Amino acid sequence: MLVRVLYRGYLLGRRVTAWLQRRFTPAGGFVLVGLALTATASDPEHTLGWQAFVVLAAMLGMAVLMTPFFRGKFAVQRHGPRFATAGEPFSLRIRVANLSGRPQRGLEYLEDLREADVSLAEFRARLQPGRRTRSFRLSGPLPPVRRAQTRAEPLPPMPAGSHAEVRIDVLPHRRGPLVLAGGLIGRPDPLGLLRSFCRAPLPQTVLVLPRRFPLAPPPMPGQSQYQRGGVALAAGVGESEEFVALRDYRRGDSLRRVHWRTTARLGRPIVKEYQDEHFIRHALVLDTFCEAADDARFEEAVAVAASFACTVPDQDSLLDLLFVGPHTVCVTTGRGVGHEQQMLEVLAAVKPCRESKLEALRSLVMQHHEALSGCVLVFLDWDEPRRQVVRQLRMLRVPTLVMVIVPPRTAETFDRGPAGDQPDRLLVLESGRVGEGLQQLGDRR
Amino acid sequence: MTPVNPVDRHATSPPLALSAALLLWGWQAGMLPWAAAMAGLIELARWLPLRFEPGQEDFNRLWNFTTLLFLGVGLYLFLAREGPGSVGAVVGTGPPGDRLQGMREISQTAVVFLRWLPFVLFPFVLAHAWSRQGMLPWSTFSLYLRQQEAQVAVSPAGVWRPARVHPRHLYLAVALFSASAAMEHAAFFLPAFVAVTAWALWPWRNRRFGAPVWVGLLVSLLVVSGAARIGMTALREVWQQWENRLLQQSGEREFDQVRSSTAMGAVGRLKLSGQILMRVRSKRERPPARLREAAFNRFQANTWATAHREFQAMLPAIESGPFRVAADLRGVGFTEISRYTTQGEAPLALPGNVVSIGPLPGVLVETNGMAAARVRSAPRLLTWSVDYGPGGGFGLPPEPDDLSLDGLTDTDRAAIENLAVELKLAGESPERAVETVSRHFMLHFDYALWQPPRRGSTTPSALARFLQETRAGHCEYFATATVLLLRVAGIPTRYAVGYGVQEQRGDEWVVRGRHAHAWCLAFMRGQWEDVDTTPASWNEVEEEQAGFTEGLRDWFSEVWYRFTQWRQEGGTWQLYAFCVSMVVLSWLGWRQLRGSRWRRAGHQPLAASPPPLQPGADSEFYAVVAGLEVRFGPRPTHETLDAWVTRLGVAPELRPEKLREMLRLHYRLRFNPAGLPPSERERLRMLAANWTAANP
Repeated sequence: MLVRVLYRGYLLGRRVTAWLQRRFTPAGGFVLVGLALTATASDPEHTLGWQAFVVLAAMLGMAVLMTPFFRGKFAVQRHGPRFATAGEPFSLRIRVANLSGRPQRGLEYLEDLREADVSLAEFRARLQPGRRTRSFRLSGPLPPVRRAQTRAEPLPPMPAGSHAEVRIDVLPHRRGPLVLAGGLIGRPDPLGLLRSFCRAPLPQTVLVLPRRFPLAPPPMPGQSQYQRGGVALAAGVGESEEFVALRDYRRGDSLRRVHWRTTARLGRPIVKEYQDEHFIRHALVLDTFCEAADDARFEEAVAVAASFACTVPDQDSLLDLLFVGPHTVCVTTGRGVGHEQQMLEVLAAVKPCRESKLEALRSLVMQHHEALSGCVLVFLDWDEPRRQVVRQLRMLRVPTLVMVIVPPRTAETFDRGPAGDQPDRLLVLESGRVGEGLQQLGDRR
Repeated sequence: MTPVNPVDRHATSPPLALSAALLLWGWQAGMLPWAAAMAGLIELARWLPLRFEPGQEDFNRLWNFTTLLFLGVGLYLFLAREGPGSVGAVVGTGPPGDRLQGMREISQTAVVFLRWLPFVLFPFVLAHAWSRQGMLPWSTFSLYLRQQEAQVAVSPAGVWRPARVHPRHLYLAVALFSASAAMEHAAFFLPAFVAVTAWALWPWRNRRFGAPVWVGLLVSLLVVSGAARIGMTALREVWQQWENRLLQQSGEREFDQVRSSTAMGAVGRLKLSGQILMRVRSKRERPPARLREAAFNRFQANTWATAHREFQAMLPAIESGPFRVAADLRGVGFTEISRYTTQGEAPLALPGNVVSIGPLPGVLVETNGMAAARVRSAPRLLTWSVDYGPGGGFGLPPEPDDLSLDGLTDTDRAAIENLAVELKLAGESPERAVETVSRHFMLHFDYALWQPPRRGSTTPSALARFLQETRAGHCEYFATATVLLLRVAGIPTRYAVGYGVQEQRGDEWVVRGRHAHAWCLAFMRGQWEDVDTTPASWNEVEEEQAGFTEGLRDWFSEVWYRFTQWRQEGGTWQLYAFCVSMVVLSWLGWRQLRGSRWRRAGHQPLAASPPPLQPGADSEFYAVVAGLEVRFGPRPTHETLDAWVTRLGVAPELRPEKLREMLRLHYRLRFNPAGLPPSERERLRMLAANWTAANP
């Protein structure tokens, strides 16, 4: 009950804040803060703060009265990228046409970013770590709630029937789809405090990919392995040589392999013989099992996986991304099967899994182990079930590279466990210094 | 026509706006010479070319220092103006009047702090005014934002710039706010405030609207504000009338030793507070069961009053000695009582058989003829010791009022006299009459905090209804009925109010608001004796009133009690606390400032500046660009230097022809593989220096 009330209050607070930020200009913000201060911190018996309150309230009142008197007709065209990267700003080129039949000036353009509400489950999960560990907070070590931010840009004067172009910068904070609902043509009131808007709906979605760390091509473990049945849809081939020889038909041979011409010439069934296909194929295993308190570390794990997905040379090898969310997922790229872009799109949508399904992840990895040259595992913890996965892979002679993302200032006391005898196969990455830690991979080449 | 970027427009505040705000503040706060000097120092920077080159890190450190200064001044005011006492009065367990006074004192301290605020922030603003920095990122003013900003990846292109603000705008707002924290020149404040605010908002106006609209709005603003001021004044008067009424009503809840309005006649549940009012310590024996604060002998309209309204000072037998109540007796019991006082005043709760009251140096003790004692000029937390024993107690001997039934209504008188006849009290000895009345109430009456609605009642009198119909009530009913019944029996009686001591917590007993009690004083065996006819179950019924938060409130009360005790015993602790805080704050401030390296701009080249990474990176034209950016805001990244300079350079005072020449030379220096001949480089240097000097 209390959580629901807090949640409602939180949603209301977010909506009000977003509305205030959109409606008020910086000067309006000053006036609004001044109004709040003079309303709450004025002692009518000892100060004249109430007179200041009256003036500021009158200013805002007049600004509010001016807002309905903005009429205009505009058409908006937006040119922007389909993909962006979290934490890296991108630009939208906006073309605004004045269809209102009279010149327009003193206008501003705002991009209407559609923010998805935090769900009750997410809010509840975010409350829990605060209660248990530090304090109530919805930011700090947790990933940002806000998807993106942008700012108002002034529009040049537009004569009737003409158009203007403006560039809008957007800074995406979170990976995932970013919905741009349309354009808002704002007109500040004469005092420059409050904006009134004309909306121009123009829905578009930009997929924000995970942030990536600069990474030298990493030394991937293992050698090429036999790929049973080859790789369907692979544009390139492995070390196979088609048509090694012809031989007599044996029971069980596929009719597709019958070489009909020789069969006809010799009068007995002859089949084509192929060499087994060998590819270098790596698995990139992403650990998605974490509590809400560790969401920031999970984001860093996704970033590490994305960095690997972009860096592993895809012309010579295959890379399987394996993780378990609500469903088990395996995405393969390389050798023309898929492009790193697809893997980044998948990573942009991956969500943390609150229920630990390490057994499912272990099964998924074991299903693939015969085809794997090596396995890169990005873990959020180094507990016994995760160690067991690594132990099993080592027993199966699958070379592994394990990266564990640990909380800040815990790397010194980290217990390496079964990877203690191969220190270069286990990389401990401190949260907040992951990029720095990944540089150690380059040093190990 | 090229649009004017609002960032550029807002990069500076209008000339003299900040000075006007400072002068308004100085005028209001009575510090006009200081304000004029401060405004002069800031404005002087407009006319002198001298500038410093602090970096963002230097401003961060300076703001940290300013924050420490802010805390230091706040702490000084808090301690110097009895802040702890005021806060204690607000959050403590004192009466409403005490809280109101505490809130007023806190409010006054805040007002003084507000008046000083421009002084506190002045070093930062002055440093900024004499630097080449324009707007500063918001993170300068917040450690939290600094951390957030550090986490956000900065793109190589630097497209995204963090939100920025001009410190002058902030300081102007602070100066205006501080100016309003005074009561001086009330008639002129409003127009002056409107004028300065309008001038400050001038760059922010929407140029879509012409000057007539702007002026018309200003005039309207002045008229509306004036009208609203008149309306607010009228509203305040109405509010003050309401406030006075409310205060009068809440004042009745405060204890009055000459008049006691009972809750008799009220229907519904009687709810009393669980706040701890007194703490009683007794070393060996149990403390007295009742502590009396006052006694009354006149009853009328459910209100008890005393015939002896005047209080007289009690003097100890020897200076700084105890106050002897019964000079020839020695007490057999000893107890110590603590309670908070309201502005130095409080009633003294005493056992009925008090022999002496422990020494209270510097405290004025007064009594009236009804054995009510009170203190004046007492510390916030007053602790007094009491000796008591048989034969103790004080109060004038019986007088006609102690036997009077004059104030009773006919209904009450009839009810009392009928019951007295029924109990056959006439002619009984005092001891026998007291026993009869006690037994009657014990056997036939119940203790209840709930009084049902009067629907169906045959009598309008609360007392008669209690005696004849409900036969249940709280202690005031029992005490009043006992006093009046015994008077009918010819025994002099008085109505006593105070507290029951019934809850032990550890080694001390606590007295809560709901332990308030009333009983009868009967003159028997030559002295006033307590006669309590309230059923013994009243303790349990009252304990059931404890709320679930009482434990938490008790904990806060205990903490505050210990703190107040320590504070009162600690002497000049404020001075020590202030000195220690100042040392800590000074050390922190020095740590903040020691790392700053403020260089004078343009005169002292960097000693170990690295060679330019690319040709022309050391071009003098960048100083011109920096000057333009200070004035017009940063160059939009999508605009080339050429287009930007062309756009800005249309103003004749910027000498566009010189700008164009400098730009041509700069481009050649930057992009011509052969570089710039020394003579032309010197020409660029000279042009840039001249332009910078002419456009500070």
